[in-house]
Amino acid sequence: MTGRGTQSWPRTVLWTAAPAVLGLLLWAAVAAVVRPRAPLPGPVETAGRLVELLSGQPLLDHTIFTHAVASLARWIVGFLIGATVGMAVATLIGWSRVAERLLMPMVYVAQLIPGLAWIPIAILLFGIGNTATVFMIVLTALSPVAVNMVAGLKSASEDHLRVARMAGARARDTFRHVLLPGSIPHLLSGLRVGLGNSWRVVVAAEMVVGTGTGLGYSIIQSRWTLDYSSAFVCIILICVVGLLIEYLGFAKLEEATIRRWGMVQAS
Amino acid sequence: MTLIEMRDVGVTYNGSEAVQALDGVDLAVREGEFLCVLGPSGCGKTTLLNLVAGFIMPTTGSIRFDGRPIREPGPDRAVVFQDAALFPWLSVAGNVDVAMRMAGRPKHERVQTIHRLIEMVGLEGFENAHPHELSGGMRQRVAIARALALQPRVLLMDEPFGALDAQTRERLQDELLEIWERTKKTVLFVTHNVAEAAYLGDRIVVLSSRPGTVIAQINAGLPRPRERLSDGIRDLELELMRTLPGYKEQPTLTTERT
Repeated sequence: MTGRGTQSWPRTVLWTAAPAVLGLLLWAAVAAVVRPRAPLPGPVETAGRLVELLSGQPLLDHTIFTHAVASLARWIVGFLIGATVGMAVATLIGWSRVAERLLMPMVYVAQLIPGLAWIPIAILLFGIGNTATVFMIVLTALSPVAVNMVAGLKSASEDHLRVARMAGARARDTFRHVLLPGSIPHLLSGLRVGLGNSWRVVVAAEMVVGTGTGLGYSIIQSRWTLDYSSAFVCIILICVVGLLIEYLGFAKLEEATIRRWGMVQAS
Repeated sequence: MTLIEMRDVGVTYNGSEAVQALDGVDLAVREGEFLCVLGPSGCGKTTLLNLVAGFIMPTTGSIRFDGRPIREPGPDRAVVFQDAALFPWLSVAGNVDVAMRMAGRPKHERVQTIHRLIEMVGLEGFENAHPHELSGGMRQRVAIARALALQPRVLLMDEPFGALDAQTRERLQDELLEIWERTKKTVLFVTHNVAEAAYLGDRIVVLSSRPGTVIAQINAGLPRPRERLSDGIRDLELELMRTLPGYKEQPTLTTERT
């Protein structure tokens, strides 16, 4: 082993911090250049506002925590519904040829439509508000989950299917004991993609659908209140949640599953 | 008693060009017999095994198992696959168990069988290990236990030890013979390894390649337990090699024996 494995911890810290420092410097520079013409907040002002908001100062009638929790709740509810429906659709497609013919094209096409393109339909169906936002999240999470799980169900090896056949398994048991567990690594990557995509859609949908609370709603409202540093605080919180999804949520689980499922050689 | 009977069996694969894998194969496997099918790679050995398993159907001719034509796979003909084909998401015990579950065996029977079989293949203590934690030899032991769990009339083994190192292969051969003697199962064992066929088989069927036809059926006629380096085994190996297509007499081999 060379490189990362043998790096001493000060170097590791340095290389982790360096891009963040560079980013902050660039931000400060841009803010300084733009400042004479537009009130773009720099890192220092944003940090100050972050502290104020975290200490409970209201932003658009609510604390920053209420906004964050509102966004997270919409996201999780929408994602859970979308993922559940996505898995049900994939199961149906994996189970029946007819369902595959009928539903698979719809799922593929749905995957090509950006979540936000549903805004007019969402508003038409549910009016302005929370339900419309959740509806868009459901649609965003559904497709990647369904598409990946179907791919997983189809990835069963010929020999594994033959094991079921030689045991005399009924179709139901083959599905339950061979196809379904075999699809889990694919399903997990579908869930991860769905989770990330739907988070982005939550924020964007809140901007358009006028939910009254939420990080996306707060960002767009800062146009009227000219409270740009609060907008930046919201953006930072959105990044933090995104990073948490990426590194804490699924990455570890996916890695462990892929190793156990033998999709990579365990060394 | 004849357990498996093939009459004039031919298999043609229809791809971009038709490939005749087997042609005019006549073969009878007796109950309780250890039969080796020997041939070079690509001679249709695996095709022959897949026919008996019921995974594929013959293009011509007929195969009977216990007097009835083979129409589909079933637990009376359990296969040990070349690369074990274990379910990576299940433990050792889980892999043995799931085969029985899919075969519709009741729980109490499964619980008893799992431990007995895991012990028989020498994997006590590894019940909860997953396939990626096992060596190639251990994986094949699990595959053998899983096949036996189905209580088959015949074990169909498709070069099960082909990918193992020489020492592991010999140990597994010995253990397989022990299991065979204990369980009295019929074994149909496919291999391209002359020494393996000579050491294991009661009878060895030699196939030619493309299309695969039976070119020799040789009775080992050697007492068990056999000695790997005995004269009897060496004579048999030489006899087998002479029947294989493309064999050239090698003087060193003959002088070695005198």
